[in-house]
Amino acid sequence: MRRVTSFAVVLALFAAALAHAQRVEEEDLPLEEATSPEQWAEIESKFAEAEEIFRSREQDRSIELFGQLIERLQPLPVATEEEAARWKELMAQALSYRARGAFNFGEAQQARRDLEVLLQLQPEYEMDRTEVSSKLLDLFDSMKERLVGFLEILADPTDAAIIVDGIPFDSSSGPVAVLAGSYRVESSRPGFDFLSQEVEVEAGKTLTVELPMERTSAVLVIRTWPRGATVRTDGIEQGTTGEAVSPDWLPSGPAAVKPRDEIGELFIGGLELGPHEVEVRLEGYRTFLGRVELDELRDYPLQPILLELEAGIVVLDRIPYGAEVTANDRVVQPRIGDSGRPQLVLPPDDYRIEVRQGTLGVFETRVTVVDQKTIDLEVDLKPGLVLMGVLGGDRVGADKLESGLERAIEEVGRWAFLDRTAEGPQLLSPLGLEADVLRDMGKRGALDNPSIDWKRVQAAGDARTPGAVYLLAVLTDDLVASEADLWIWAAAPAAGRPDLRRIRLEDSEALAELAAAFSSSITQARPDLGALLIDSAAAAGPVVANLRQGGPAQRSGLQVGDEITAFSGAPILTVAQFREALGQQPAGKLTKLEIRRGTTTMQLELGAGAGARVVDVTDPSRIHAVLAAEIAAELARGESSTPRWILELNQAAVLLQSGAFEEAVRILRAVQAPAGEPLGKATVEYLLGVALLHSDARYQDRAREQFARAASDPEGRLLYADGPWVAPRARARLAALGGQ
Amino acid sequence: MATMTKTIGIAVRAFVPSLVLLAAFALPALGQAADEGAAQRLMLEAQRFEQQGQVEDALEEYRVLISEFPQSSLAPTALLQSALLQAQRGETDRAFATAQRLIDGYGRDPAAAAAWVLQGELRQSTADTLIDLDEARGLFRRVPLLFLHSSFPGLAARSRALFRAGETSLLLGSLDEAAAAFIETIEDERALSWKGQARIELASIWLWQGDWAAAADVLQRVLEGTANSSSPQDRAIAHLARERLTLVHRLRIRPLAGQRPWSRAGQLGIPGLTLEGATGVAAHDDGRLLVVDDDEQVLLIDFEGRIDARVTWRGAEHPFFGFDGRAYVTVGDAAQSPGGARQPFTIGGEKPKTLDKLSAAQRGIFGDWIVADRSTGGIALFDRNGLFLRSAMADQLGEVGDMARDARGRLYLLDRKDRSVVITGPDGSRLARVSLAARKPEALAVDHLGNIYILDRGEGTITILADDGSPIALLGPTLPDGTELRAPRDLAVDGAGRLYIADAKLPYLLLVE
Repeated sequence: MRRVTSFAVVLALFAAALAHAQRVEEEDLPLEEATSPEQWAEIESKFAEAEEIFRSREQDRSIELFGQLIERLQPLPVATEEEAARWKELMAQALSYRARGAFNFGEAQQARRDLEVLLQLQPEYEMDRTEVSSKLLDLFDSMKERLVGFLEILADPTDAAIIVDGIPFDSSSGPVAVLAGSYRVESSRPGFDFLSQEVEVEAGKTLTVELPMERTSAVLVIRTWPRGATVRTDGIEQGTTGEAVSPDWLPSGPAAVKPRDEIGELFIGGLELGPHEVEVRLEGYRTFLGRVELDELRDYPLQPILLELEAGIVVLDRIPYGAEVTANDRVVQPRIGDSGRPQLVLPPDDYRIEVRQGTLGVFETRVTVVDQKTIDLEVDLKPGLVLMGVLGGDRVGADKLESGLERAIEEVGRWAFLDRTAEGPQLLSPLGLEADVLRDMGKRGALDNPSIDWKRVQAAGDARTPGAVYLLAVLTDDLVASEADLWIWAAAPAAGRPDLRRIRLEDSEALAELAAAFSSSITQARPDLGALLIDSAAAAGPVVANLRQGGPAQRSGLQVGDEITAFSGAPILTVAQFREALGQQPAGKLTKLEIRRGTTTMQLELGAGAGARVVDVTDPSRIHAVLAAEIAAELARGESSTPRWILELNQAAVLLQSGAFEEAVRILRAVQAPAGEPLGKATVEYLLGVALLHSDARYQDRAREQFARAASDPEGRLLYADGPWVAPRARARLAALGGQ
Repeated sequence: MATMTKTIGIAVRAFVPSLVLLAAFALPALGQAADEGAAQRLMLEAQRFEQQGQVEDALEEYRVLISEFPQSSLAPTALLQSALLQAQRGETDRAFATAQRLIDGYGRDPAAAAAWVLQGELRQSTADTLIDLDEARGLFRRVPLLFLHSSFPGLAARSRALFRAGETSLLLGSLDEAAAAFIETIEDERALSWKGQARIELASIWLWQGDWAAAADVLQRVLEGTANSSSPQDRAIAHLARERLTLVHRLRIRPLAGQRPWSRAGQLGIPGLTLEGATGVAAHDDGRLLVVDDDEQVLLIDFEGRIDARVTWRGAEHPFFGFDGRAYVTVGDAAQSPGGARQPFTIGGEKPKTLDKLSAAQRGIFGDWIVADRSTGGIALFDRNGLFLRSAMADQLGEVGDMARDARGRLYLLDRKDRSVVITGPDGSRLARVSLAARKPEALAVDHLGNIYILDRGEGTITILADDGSPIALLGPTLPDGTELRAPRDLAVDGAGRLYIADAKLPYLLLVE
């Protein structure tokens, strides 16, 4: 509790104020009881006003004003030493002015009372002799002569702590004015006897007290950076280095670069001569252990102990350039360590380390950092699948789905499963993604709802819970759910449109099927034969139905009508068998084929090539958001074995199937596809025609132009070099549009 | 339930004035939830009735749901189910009206897309003219326009509508438009259900348009995509694809490679099949065979070579498969289907005349009947119910000895007297006449490519012509295995281009492949 200073007990006003200020600090006073800056400003303003009136012709009015000010100051709470000094100064000045005013207007008694209180408050107070009348000065001097004496204390050693009536006392600069009377003087210093004696200060005289202290033990002086370390000697706790260092101590060495106020000291007395173990301990820092030999009774100031932070090292191997690293959600900057590898130096703790780089993906792991230990991490960036939440009241079903999803995705191994169920629903709810709304949409198989802007949803995820693909599950029932709708969308720059999957919670294969969509790659090459093989009930094996001019099959000598009966000596009955066998061969490797041509059986060597392929986005097992994320990652990686234009073609194909026709048009117009290749210019022209056709009725003429171009290339293919022919498709679309 | 909720609301307001505001906000929501629950119960009940075959009860449950809870999310589904049940019961007009109610009341609900499709299918199934078919196509075409796949990506009804639009375009003779619709079904849609059939149809169009390599590519993909499926529908599609690929191999690739389309001939081995001189044979693209012999046995054989039906009908002859896929033979004055109803043919007018010397019959794309009778010239046309419509081409046809129909609904009439084949469109319009070099043309068949097979009884040969009359091949009189045709009476060609010859002097069917 704050003790309010009282004019009635003004005898020890300053002392009380100071003591009071110290208590306030200790007791952590509630704020509402402190004197606010506004109150101080108001008081000082009133003081200035009264001072101005004092110096005017209406000086008499100032007496009352200073009186009010004194009344106001009396109960004012002070909370710090600074406030106490401020209070003391204002009170002394107010008393002084009122005394002068009262004296000038003949109220000598009032003046005398005020000066007495003033000297009790501030025995060393001196009036400005240039301003004050000689009569008042005489009065003041006589009163001071009668009330105030001087005290000087000379302690040996000089750094001993002197306490007078419980208050620290410093007479190093000469005798100090005090009220005449008796005082209890105490001196203390580690390693010396404690002295205490009663002294009597007479008014108008100077009392010099000598305090020769007798050394009783050696003293260990310990200074630490930072302050606050606990010191033990021989296992006995001696205190903490919480005190500020002595003003006359000059740091040297490494301690000199540390801020002085961060260094604390501790004097430890009472130690016997001989060896002592010293232990300095501070949480978060490595413990210092040392040994000192005390040979004689003197002070032993040790070199300042700069405590070292406890830290372990986490090495991040294969971290990509420009990746952002966080440790427990705090961004940290890897540095190149002594080993030349990027590393983090972290205080011991449990950490969730996350490395993220744009669309390349995310690497997340948990580590326990131990002091002075190194953890090697191989950063394997995987696209992040962010589970944004499972909406619906059936928490049993939700938990089951959540854990099932995590397990299924982790089994795939190519994705990082990022659980953001804690923040996801709160993030998405204001954007309209509520269970009821999504259930209704799911029931109708509708992706659009006026209250949902998927672009905003995508942007929110990218900003707050970034990943490559987002998944929000909605249970179809709040009580006992048997099914869940999975809303899946990709991060930018993919189209901000979701995929919708419904799965049965009891169906273990449903999650496996879902996971399969996360496991297939978009960058697989496909053997290029340059031939159309068909199955025929009238043939002994796959029949060569068509050959691409100059293609691998034709170069190998195959002819239309040939029936393939064996592949590397193994009988072949169907095209599927042939394809499987070919798929297991390295590209370009010569393979022996047995063929039947008419009635003749012959052998030849086939050297199939390999070509890129565009993913079949109409395959219902594919999830467009997943494809979009994979393509974006491949494009960002820049080191893909798949040509960039193929990746862009993939990107456009996904956008087409997602209904983002305008974006598909934009990408297709920029694709630099090679001319004269089966998978090339005609492919792009055809897809561009489809995108234009669907994007807006205004672009039908443009679509027609694209289809006409695509139709003019008889060898253009979709998906891959041996893929479906473009030309007949383009012709049909063109004819349906009324083109020629 | 709605009434109960209201009562609770009144009670709350009467006793707890401070809850008035809360009740005003909360109770409508509670009421909606209760309504949805009640609607759900009705839906489950209706579905249970449906499963038990209690159609009337199911319809009543749906009716209550629709009238009591029109705001329920289940109301559109209830309307659709009602319309489907009505359609199943043959209540075409009622089903159409129910579908219209769904479209009018819940136009943006995906069930409305299914309602458009149902309306189109009802129009298609009851079409009597090309105009009716065109109207059906218009209904199908609306679905992709109203239900964009960017908003409804997996909408099965749109996929179905596109397929049906292609199908009707095909019958209307708009091959490019049909191809475009099938391509959209395959490339732009995610729903799987119609992709297989769309690919088969697309391949057919390209075969007819001469782009057989692209067609073969599509068929091969269908085969590989369905070959390992256990679904009967997939298996049927795989079979069809394999048959068509074999046809392409036989009649396109082999000639290109300088090889003969047919290299073997022999007895068709069907377990349990014994014939007393085969007199008639018909083959369907899907592999089924219909055989008639001198003992007036009628045998239906499935695509796996098993006898599916065996009946004996006095006077049975001229087997054929109608456009509806059913097997028929002529029996006296009527067409009869094994296991089906008998359809007699009588020419109307002032002097009604029963046609009792039928020489050939077919069933067209509208379910209509085309009949040739030895006692009358030309052909007689009857509607789907056997009602006489008109006689046609009496002045253009001498004696119609046989007729066949191709997959596009075109009719091929063999004029024995004039030794020619007259080709008409599905609506009866004459398209072409192909003159034959045959001495005694006895029977004809048409394969999926539109090639015409003429059995010449006089020469004991089979001539194969393209639909423009250009010769492709000649078989006989000695077949590849050395068999000589002695009394050939009929021939058929299946989806793979296998030839089946009915010879009255042989106790089995001859197979040439």
